[in-house]
Amino acid sequence: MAGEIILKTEKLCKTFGPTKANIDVDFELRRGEVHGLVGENGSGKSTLLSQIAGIIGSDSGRIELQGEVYEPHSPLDAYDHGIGIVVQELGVIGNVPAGVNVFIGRTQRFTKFGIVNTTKINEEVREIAKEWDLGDLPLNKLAGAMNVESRKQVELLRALAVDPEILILDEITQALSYDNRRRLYAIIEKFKAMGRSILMISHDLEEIMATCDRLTVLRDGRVVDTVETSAISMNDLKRMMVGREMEGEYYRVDNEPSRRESIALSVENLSVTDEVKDMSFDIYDGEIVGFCGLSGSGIHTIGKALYGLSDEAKGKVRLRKNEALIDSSQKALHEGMAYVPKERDWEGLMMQANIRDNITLPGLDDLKSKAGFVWNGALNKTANKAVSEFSVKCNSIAQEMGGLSGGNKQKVNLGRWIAKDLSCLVLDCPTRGVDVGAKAYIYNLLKSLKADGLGMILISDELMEVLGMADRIFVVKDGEIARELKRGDEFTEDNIIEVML
Amino acid sequence: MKIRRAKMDVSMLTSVILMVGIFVVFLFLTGGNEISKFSLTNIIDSSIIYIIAGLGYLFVIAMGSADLSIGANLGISCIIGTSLATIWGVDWTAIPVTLAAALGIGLINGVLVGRLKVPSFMVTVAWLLGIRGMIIYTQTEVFEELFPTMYYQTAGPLLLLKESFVKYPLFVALIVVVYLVLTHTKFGHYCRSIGENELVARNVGVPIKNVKLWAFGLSGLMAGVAGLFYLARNGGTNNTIGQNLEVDVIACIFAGCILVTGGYSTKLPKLLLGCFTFAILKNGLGLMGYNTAFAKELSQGLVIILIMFAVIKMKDWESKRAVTITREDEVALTDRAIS
Repeated sequence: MAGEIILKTEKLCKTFGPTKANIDVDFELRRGEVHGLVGENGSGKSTLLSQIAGIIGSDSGRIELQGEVYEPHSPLDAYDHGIGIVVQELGVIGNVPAGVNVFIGRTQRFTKFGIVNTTKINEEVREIAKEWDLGDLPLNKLAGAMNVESRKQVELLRALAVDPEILILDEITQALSYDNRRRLYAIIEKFKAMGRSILMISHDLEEIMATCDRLTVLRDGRVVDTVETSAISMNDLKRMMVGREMEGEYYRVDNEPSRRESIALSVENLSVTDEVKDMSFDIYDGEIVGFCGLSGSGIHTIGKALYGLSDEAKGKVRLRKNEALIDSSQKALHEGMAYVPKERDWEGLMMQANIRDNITLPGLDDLKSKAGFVWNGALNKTANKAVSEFSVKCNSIAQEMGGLSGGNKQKVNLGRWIAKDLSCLVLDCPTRGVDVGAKAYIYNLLKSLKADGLGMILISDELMEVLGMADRIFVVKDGEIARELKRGDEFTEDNIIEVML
Repeated sequence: MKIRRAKMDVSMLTSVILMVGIFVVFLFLTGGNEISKFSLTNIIDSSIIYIIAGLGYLFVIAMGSADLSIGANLGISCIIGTSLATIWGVDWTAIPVTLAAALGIGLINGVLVGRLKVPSFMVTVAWLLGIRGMIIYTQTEVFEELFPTMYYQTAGPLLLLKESFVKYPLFVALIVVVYLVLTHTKFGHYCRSIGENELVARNVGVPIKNVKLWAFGLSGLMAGVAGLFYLARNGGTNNTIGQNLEVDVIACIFAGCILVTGGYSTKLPKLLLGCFTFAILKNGLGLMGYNTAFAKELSQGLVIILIMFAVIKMKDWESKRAVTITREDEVALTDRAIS
């Protein structure tokens, strides 16, 4: 029976120390709907999902599942109630093969005399993957050795293996490339057609608007409203999330490519094993060049190779300012290049170090005194300046990096480079996992850097972002530039997808 | 306007509490004797070799690596230095040759770990075992009979290291220099960033291979310096030279609550605190009559276990009182940013 309420929460509260994560949350999930939870970082979306998933308890209030009181005390308990979960907190167990990860905690069925029959598990996992058209995954590989995208797919398989009535998806598309997103949307459609429900969180509002039937907007731990997606515009939604008018446009408004005469970076015959094949291109000053491609296309490898991080890279990457050949990340740093990696939390920032040390790491050369010492005064000054300039929300620069929200982490990740005199900036998915406010901030920053004449490379899995910001787009397929598009009439999603697939 | 609230270094506090605690315990157990026999020079004299070797080790531990070769390195470089000095008949040459040999071994470690990416633990354990064998061979009677000219008695400028007016100023100078290099140079920052997250450091553009090369080089060099102090005190080499030095240094590092994973929490004062803790312990045990190696090792083991629990408890406590940004703070900060 579509439309019937399958899960509801009443006056749900949760506090963490002095922080009120959830305040009197009333929420209803109907059968056969895709329901989106939206809100800025720290608005309480993930807390609500974690409560439903049994990862954290509630201080007061109650949850009803199909009319009965439901008090899950662990994710496994949630599985038993027919709730499949893909959330940030759970992840996979690195030292266990991917296949076993799918049935982790529920391997009794496959166990005889204390020995787990992995062949049988893998067979079953393959069947589930086939049923949901999730493609082939190396099931015997250790989950820890897989990339983020594959790990998320393993988590998705784990949730689907429960044969759930309700599927909970927290920020899953952020980790997926274009082709796998399509697969996910197909799963969502199929799920819905089966009369089951999906509850999802995403920072990608375009995606939320396109996928969800209803939305619940949260702000500061409270429910602002629940609305039908068809009855709300994007701007209204942003306003509800932020609580004030969002000014102007997110992306660039001009519709013409622009750049300066001088070339910032020349790439000649760049190859990286079989991931990138013999690529040559120039990046001009004051130009944003976008790179789009599917998961195996090698776009992320290009970013690494440009910054001299790939040992297998062949070919020439030259900065034209000093005619410097970039053959190592050390050289790239020295010559004023900057690289913002995709995995902010483990490739970009030192989570246990404080904000100051994170901000100042790339700029130590400029902070040296005449005698060659790096004094704390100089470090504090630079860090305080960057923190206030980029309005990073923190108590002080001595605060541990890991305590910041995604958007603020990304501001540090990006902001530490901007303080330097840059000659070329390589960005890999710079708005991944950040909320609308921080996103708008980052786009504005890119616009002003462009105006200052900085050449930038924008590698992204989000087509809208590349279309919105770039002057030129290289659509990459199988490690080769399949097509070059110029800002203007050519710039459509269809044009990219057509080449990409 | 900026809110500034320095975060207290809990691990430093733990090691201070630990040191004071052990001191008080022995004060009671020895009926006040501990304090009368207790002086700073006493402590320094009994642990100067560990402290100096530990100073070099700080660079390695800051990167989250291990250098178990320092004891063997101290031994073999002293033997090389003194042997050549004897052969050449020029006493002072023992100093540069010992230092060069120690630095060389450290740099080889650095190449193996940094360029060839062999785990530091494996590389340095191999040295530890291999060189220890060579040390014992060169210090046996057979060897002395074969090469009688290589028998060495500490003499010349090395003996100056026994004099207070050279020993203590040099000791303090070494501490100051290492402190400056570790905390206030690009190299020191790079070492610690590698310990925090090597991948991040690499992605930023930290020259990992070179930093590792010189960090291990410094660790070796300081083992050589410690070796010179050893020669001055013991009058020459013997077959146990440098034995268990790495264990003692690592014990001091643990007692100072320095994380083996390295990173920005690696600080020189913690090493000194750890060394003092052990010096007090040894001093106290000696006064109580437990002067055997067995008692010493047992007590070291117990103290390390105690430290582990202390660190775990303190971490728990820290995470409970950790200053996290509350929603209200964040709203207030946003308002300020907007206005």
